[in-house]
Amino acid sequence: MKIWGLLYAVVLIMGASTSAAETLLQRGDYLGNGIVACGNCHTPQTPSGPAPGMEMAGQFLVEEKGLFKAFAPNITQDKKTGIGGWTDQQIITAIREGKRPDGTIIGPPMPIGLYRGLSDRDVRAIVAYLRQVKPVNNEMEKSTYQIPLPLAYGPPVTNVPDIPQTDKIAYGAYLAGPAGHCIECHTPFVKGRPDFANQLGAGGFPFHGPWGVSVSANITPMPMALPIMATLNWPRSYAPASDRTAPG
Amino acid sequence: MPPMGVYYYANISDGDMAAIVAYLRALEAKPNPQKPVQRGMANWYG
Repeated sequence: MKIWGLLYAVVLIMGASTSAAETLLQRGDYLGNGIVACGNCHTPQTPSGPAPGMEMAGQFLVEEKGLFKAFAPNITQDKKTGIGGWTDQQIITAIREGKRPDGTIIGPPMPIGLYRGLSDRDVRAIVAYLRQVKPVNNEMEKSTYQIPLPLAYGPPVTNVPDIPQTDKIAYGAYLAGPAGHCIECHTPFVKGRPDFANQLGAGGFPFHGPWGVSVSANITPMPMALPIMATLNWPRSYAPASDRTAPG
Repeated sequence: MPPMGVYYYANISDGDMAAIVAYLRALEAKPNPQKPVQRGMANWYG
């Protein structure tokens, strides 16, 4: 019995040290290819997934008539058409404050308002990940806006601490908010902004794209809000990652 | 269905997914008569 207890303690310690030993690049790779999903906008998407060889090379995103026509820029390390010439701090400022090195403001649908809450460590991790994306020379068209963009999204962002993963709901809110921006797409917009105050997660936002039209689902616990949640009890009993399918 | 980033979300760890689910379960229920729909997918998926 003592031996099993000792083994259990050793396993716990090893697990803790493995987590603590996660490098910035490992964290950034996990975030960028997971919940943050940079490539979902910045990598050309095909019906069978991200276009091979074009990781982060940019793509046309969305046109909202009378509001804007948005292109996700090339964020590969290409110095001419990407962000290879930007410093780490300039990339961090672009992500969390929506300001490019030339002082211009990044417009929607980049979720700057939520990215302002990315922790210092996570935003540095994302930069580490972006630094190892291979350069792709791909000149992208500039986004155009008929709506006014703000002069700034707020004061400079400094000192954003990590959310403790032990606080499950707070960490889940961080993942679904600043990191994954789930709530950005799944909240109805009022006057060009997601109505977090009154309709957080209520869905109903239409997305027009090369795939046709998708209207985001209500992801609140409203009965029958998300049919798959109501009928299959998903994701309360969510499946292992290898078996998982997600609503789209 | 796009633009949901399923190709990326498949890489989310079980622990992180459980945290997201816990958060979603804690959200206040909000009615919305607008149903999730997808149209025109046949052109995208061929």
